[in-house]
Amino acid sequence: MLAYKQEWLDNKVLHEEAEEAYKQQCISKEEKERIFQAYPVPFYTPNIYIRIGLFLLTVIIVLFSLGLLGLMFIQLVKESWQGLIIFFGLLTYGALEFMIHETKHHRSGVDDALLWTSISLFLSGCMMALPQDTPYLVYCLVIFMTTVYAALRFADTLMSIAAVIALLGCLFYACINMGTAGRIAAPLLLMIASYGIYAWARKWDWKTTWRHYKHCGSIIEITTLLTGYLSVNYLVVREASNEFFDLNLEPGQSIPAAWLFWIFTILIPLAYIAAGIWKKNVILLRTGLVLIAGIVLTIKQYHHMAPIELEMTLGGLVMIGIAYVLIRYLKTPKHDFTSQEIDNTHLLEKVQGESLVVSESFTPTPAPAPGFNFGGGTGGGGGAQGGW
Amino acid sequence: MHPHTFERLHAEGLISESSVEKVKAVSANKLFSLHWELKTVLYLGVLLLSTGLGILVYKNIDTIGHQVILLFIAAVSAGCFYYCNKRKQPFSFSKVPAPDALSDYLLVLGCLTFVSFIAYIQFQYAIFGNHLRLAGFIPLVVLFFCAYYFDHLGVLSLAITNLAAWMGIVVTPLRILRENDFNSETLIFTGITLGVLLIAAGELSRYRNIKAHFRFTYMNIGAHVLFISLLAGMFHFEHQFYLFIMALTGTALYFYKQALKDHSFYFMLILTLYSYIGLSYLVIRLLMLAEDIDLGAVYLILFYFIGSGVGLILFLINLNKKIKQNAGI
Repeated sequence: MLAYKQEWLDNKVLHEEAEEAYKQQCISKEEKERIFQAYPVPFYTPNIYIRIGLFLLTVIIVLFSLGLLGLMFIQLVKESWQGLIIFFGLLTYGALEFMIHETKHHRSGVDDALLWTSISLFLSGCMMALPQDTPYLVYCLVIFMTTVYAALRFADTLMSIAAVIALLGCLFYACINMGTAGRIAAPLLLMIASYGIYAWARKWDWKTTWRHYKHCGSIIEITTLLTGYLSVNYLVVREASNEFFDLNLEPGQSIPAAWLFWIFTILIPLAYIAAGIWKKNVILLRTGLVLIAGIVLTIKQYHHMAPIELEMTLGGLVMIGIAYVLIRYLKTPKHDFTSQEIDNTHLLEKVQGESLVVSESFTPTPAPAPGFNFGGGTGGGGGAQGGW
Repeated sequence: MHPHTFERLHAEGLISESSVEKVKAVSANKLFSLHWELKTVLYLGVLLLSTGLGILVYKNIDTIGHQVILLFIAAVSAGCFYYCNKRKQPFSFSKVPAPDALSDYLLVLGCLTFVSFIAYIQFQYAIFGNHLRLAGFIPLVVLFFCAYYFDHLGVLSLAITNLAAWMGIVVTPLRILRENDFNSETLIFTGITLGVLLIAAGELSRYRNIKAHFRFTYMNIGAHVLFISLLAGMFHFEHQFYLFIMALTGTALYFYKQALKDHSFYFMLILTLYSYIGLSYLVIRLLMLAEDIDLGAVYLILFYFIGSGVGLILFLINLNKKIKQNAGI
């Protein structure tokens, strides 16, 4: 089923483990080298930056080839130009299989680009070939089947995400078609389905038979945790009901059973964080932390608490306070938690990402031009960012 | 790390008994690190607090009075600097680790509030009179001094972006193309000057061994600014564009040599992509000159992009091999 050779994938995992053991000073350099030699990985997997370059160039080649092909055959195919796009998608897919099989590319940028372009070309060709009045359910089904195939064949994370979302899309459009009862139940059903998939992904055997799909499993967990929250988030439910069911809500008006969605909106992220800490699960914890932003945004949308600057100042103070206390408290590990970094060759650190982030968010505005004024804090690049 | 994997490796005679024991010991008391989570929360907190304070001050200028606000900003800034100075390790020209995450961020906060302080004081009291350049120059000096004195890469980036702003360019990653008008000739030449200056600073850092780890930040921003300015010059100057092509080729060659020497994949990538943009522009321009724009030219352009794409892929694959081999030595 997998396009990549399984034995080499296994060896690659072994290399990673050996590398980690070497970094933690458990095994010596000679031992690491010996493991590398005994378990070779003949895949072509370049450095991440080269991968980005190869990805971009492959996309360029595919797009211009499509242009060339279109130019040559457009007179011939005329009306059935969608067929040409599907054909070209299949051609790209052939190139992908060839690259993996013959040149042993694995996560090299070339195979990523070929996979993503071939699937999107194929799918957009199909979408455009379908008649105008096709129900959305059919679109979602086509996307689901194609991406599931691609995810199984190439163990690709993006395809896994697309497959999960397409599946939930099927459910959503099926609900909508079932009349009022279906519409009312849609958010709850979507939430249950999301957590159902999440539970499946947690319990699935990613260790033996499906070991090469482990990262797909993690990404499915993240996706379903997010969709589970979003499908019952008050903001999403209210605006989506307005959009899809023509409720024509005025500002200030609310949806039926709003209290239930408010409870979900606020409790779910907190539950994620609590469960993440309780079970020492990074995915739950980080998703929960990100979704705190969801709570804040949703509340701010409908309730005016205090002027924004006061909220920001207080929020900032609280966050600095919490982080400060926890960093101090966990400096010496407690209950198996630590605030220290365990693996200090983090990718982000290598590219000095942090300094980029700092310069991006606290950005100065150029040239104190004549007539310079302290306009809303943008001048001089001080405390406030542009736009305020 | 799974202990049983290493037990298997031991059974195959690849690693020693003691190594297996070490793996077992490490994986038995595996700690759960909250490092990145806490750092992110701290960073967002600093961001929110400084932004919130900025707006708060701006909105309430009339009611609380300028002196009070100035005093408050100065107090925050001074407090931050005091804390960082107390916690910092002795100065050295080589890399000095940050004492803790908090002072890392407080230093950024201190620098930001200091910049606000100077801007405010100039706006309100015009202490530098009409010498606006001077008003911008003082925070610049302070920022560079702090970057070196406290050994902080974030503050260095801040100093560089302020330097660029002082010269009239926005250089932050997301805004460099959006907010600069690269049709202005002054801007193009300023960009080239700034790029060369930053690259020189980066080279000096390593050559004289003054905070050699600052080199990447200088070189990185310098390279992007220089390449973009040269490309802009090439697009803008109809008649002298060959001069810019020569400069572009020279710059690319220079970075190629450096990247090979430092085994830097990152610089390889950016020099390849920028040169590719330059080359493609040249090819399209020449094709447009040679023929009137008919189907033939369009075909040639399509063929050029497909062919050059394949060529560049082979080039990058080859480079990857080359750098990897050298890295092994």
